[in-house]
Amino acid sequence: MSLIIKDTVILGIGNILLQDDGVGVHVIKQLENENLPSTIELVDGGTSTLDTLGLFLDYKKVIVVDCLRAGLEPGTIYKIKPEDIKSYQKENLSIHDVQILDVVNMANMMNKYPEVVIFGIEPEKIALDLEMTSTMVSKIPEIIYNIKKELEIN
Amino acid sequence: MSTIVLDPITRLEGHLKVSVTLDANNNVTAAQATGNLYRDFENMLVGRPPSDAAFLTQRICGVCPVSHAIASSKATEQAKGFTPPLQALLLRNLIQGANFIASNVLHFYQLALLDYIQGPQMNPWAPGYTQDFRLSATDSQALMNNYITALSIRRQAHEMGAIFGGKLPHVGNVVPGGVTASPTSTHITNFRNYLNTITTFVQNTYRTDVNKLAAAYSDYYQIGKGYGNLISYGVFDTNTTGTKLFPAGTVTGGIVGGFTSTNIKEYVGHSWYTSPSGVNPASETTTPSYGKSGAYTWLKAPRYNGTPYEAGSIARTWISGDYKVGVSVMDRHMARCIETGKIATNMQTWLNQVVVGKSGYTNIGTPTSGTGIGLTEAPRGALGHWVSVASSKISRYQIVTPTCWNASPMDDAGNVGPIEKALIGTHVADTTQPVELLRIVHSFDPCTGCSVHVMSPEGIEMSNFVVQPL
Repeated sequence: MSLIIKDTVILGIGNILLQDDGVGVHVIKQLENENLPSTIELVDGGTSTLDTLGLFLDYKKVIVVDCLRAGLEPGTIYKIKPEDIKSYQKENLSIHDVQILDVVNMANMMNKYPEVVIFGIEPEKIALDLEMTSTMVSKIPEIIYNIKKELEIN
Repeated sequence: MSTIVLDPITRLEGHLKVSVTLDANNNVTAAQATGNLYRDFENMLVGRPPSDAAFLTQRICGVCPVSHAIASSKATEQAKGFTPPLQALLLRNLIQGANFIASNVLHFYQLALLDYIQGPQMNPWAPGYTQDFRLSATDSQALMNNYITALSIRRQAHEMGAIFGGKLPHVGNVVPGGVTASPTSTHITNFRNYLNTITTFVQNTYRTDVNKLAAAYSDYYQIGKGYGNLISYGVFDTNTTGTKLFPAGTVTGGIVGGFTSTNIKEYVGHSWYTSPSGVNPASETTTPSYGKSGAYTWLKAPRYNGTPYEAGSIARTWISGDYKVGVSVMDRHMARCIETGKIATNMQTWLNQVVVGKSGYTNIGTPTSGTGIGLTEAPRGALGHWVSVASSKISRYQIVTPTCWNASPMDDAGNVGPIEKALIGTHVADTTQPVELLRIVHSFDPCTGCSVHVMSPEGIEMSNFVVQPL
């Protein structure tokens, strides 16, 4: 058992078989090569979003990295918090596939309220391929820069 | 005549569109199930080492990763002529058993239950249907409380599986040659602690709740019956000579019979493919042709002896004799619950048989050439991987998933798929809230995920959330 208390988790989500969809997992692989503070855990969540519930129960802060298609320029990085989106849930709003928000809601039902920040990256191409597009690959340093900024890591 | 289209059906894994045609009395006269995602991960594997397949194929799906890893490993082991020793089989059983429990509990409480009781009045549960809720407010509240307990149980099942599976959700330890883990006594103690808590929940709470639902909705023993033909490839090896906790077999017209994998053929007459139809997966090819005339889905139509068969818990328990009352919406829930209890009980036995300090892995190297079939069960039914190896590389790979059996389209002989068949004849009380149809589809626990997880928020002005470029 480790004596180090980890209070923050960075969770990468996506399917590495589907090109840019896997960006979250690729970011985690890259971060595994970096010297991060010992309080930070890295998790490759793959495609099992609903299995990540435990992370939202155990950690004070959860950074989610996922592919997010909103129609802006490929490679655009979005930073959203679940509470930002809640304020939009008034009219004809539907959110398909945002299972991660379901998981946040489930954690809340279990009386856990971690701080959640989602970094979503606009894909260029989602097709059967293990390699991401060069647009996406070139964005990884910037995604990591923004994650570190969020976590106040120099 | 009118039509109802459910697209996507929510609270299942992946995307499935169901369209039904109703007659003047609101009875379903025709049904089409459409898988909207092109799934051809197999061609990606060609040219890679066979051992890569166990890692890559479990990425196809976030729900059954363990079963994909096991099916793939078994296929490669057969190509190599290797049978894993008992220690490896026991560890696989414990990892796969944990996944079955997690999946079945999730299915009942998180995916199916809210067709029968009112969920919390918050996103993603609201707005939902309000039709035909029969349980008292007290019973509904008790079930919602257990919905939350089930989240915790599911999580514990998940952590239990990780003890021998390694990092979950995508297991690293299930490979051709066995399981790369050497159990310590601490592992076994931790596993047993989880298992005791989970077993108590499954045998008391889960069982009671399914019975409660079945009592209030007993008419659902007559709804969504389908063909009644069942198929299982068998799962949970209990020795090295092929005996399984749930044996392979078929049920045809209520009679339990044998199973031979060469009797499986896949038809594409109504699927968006132009590759040859009616071919066994061992020699099948996959050529997509979106928009092909007369086709309506990306799913192929697997058939056994040319006949549609249903896969899932109900097939396993019927063939094993643990539950063989009927085939219907409520029978499927009953079978799933009963098998979960049986798996939990047997996991205690397997845990006792595991030898402390003994590795579950044998280095078998790479097969240079040959073919192999890896047959197992995912929680939602029969799962098969067919591999051909040439020059130590994969030359052909085919996967037939359980939802391919259940959500399959019409075959070339005009037989509709099992879910389609189960929908036909159903009376819809309120066409604006066709809850009967949802209950039928959900009872199969379909998963067509395979797995585009891209977030797509609609109706949100996302430019407000753009991180300014460096």
